[in-house]
Amino acid sequence: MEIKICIGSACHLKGSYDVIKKCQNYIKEHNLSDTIELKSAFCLGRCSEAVSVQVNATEIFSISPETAEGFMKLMHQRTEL
Amino acid sequence: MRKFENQVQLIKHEVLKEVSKYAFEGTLDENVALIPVNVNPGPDEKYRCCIFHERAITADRVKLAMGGNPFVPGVVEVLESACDQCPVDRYVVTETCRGCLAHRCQGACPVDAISINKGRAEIDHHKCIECGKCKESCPYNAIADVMRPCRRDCPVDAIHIDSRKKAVINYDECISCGACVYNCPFGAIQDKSEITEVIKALSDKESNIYAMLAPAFASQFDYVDLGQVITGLKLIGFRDVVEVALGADLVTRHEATELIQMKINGETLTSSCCPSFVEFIHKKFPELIDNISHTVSPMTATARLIKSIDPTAKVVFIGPCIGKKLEKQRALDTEFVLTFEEIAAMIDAKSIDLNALTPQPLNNASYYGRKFASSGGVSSSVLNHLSEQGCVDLQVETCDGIAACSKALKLLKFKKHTVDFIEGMACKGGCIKGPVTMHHGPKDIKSIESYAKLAIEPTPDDALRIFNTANISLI
Repeated sequence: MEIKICIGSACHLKGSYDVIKKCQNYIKEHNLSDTIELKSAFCLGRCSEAVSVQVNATEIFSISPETAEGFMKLMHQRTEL
Repeated sequence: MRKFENQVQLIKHEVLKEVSKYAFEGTLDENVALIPVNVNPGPDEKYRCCIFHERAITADRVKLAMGGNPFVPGVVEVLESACDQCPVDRYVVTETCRGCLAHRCQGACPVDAISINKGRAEIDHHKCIECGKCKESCPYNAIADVMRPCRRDCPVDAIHIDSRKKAVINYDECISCGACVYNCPFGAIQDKSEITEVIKALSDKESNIYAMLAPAFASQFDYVDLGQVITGLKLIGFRDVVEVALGADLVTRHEATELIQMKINGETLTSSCCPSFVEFIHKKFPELIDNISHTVSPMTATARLIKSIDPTAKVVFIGPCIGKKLEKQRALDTEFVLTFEEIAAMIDAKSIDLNALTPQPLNNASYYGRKFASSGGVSSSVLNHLSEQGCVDLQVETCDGIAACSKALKLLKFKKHTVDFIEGMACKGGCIKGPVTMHHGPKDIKSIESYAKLAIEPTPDDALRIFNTANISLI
């Protein structure tokens, strides 16, 4: 699974750097580096709903530093399906 | 509403806007001949001898807006039709000459070029060596220095006057600083533009083009909220807008390491951000080429950063600088270079009312990265970065303008310089005083400081903490 986190200005202001750190930590804690690849991206076109996160180059979700862990849990479950 | 500083700026804007308008419509080839009439509708002339002359000049401006003459090696060209053949002789005796008895001018002239005819001084221009001593000595200020503005403001003496009294640029000497472009009162020297190529690229629906906005942006577009310009840039087709100050953050860290290495070697390092300063060293002080930092410019660093994240990206630098147009030809990471003047014309050509747009943020780079746009910004950023690592014993010299750079480089050449780092900027005041900015004035320095303070990341390390910078080459 490939997860792209937007680092464009609007998302950065809403905490995308913290989202990245939280996601990186989750991947580390659960040893997921082989199954989930974390990347950064520029504007995904959803600036008003930032922080934008794109999964497998298709779905776009809006998450925040607070919801990042929950998001990763869901993605983690998906990879185990 | 935008307020133009002068007619030269206004006419250039009109031409760039017309060219952009037809380029966006895809009808430039058919309509190119209409532009001189659109810009100079007549029937009466406004600035020159006749309407036909005005239209001929506009036609030449259109050629430069469409890329200029490919056989001219530089990034600026003299518009022969617009060059007004200013006086060639530098010193002239004016009406104010009182025909006094002392004739201090005559006494001061070292080459005996002044004679007194019917009680008034006369200069023999065949003898005159343009030293200016007569002007200094006259108690009535009756001798005027009417040196051509292009020649006076060229810091490398690259402009001479041909037999028809037209200005000619010697491209072997030219450092592409753009001083002549800004200072010619007739607008007879203009930079070559890539607007038509950028518009072509933006019109391709499959394209993936990023705008890289130089930090001198802070003092531009003072008639709208800067966030509205970001929205406007996305409306004309840019996928995203990235701060060049973020590349400056990368440069800070890399140049800091280089500086320490040079200090260990007992050598002086010079900055490499300003393309005209680098060109100046290459042309005037070739023995100092090894002292130039090998770190790429913030423009190139930003281009590489964007492409490390999005490999299919194409990038357009937007700044206050003509020298960047030269740098782009050598460093191949940036696809296109535009100026603030050009992007403003493109936005107007699309009939976008910036005031009506919802602002969008632009905030990725650090306070220090943004400060690169003013003189002293590069050295303060590098010094601050090093002091955070405990290195405080560094001497820097900030050279503001080519004259100051020349002085420092001369000392360095003769090994009489003891500083560790020389920051060189071709434009006095730094990039915010660039030749193709929309506003020049004293408030610019303040605007860069307040813009820098808006950065949410205080230092380069903060701004770059999530980037995988190990894979981005900075040399």
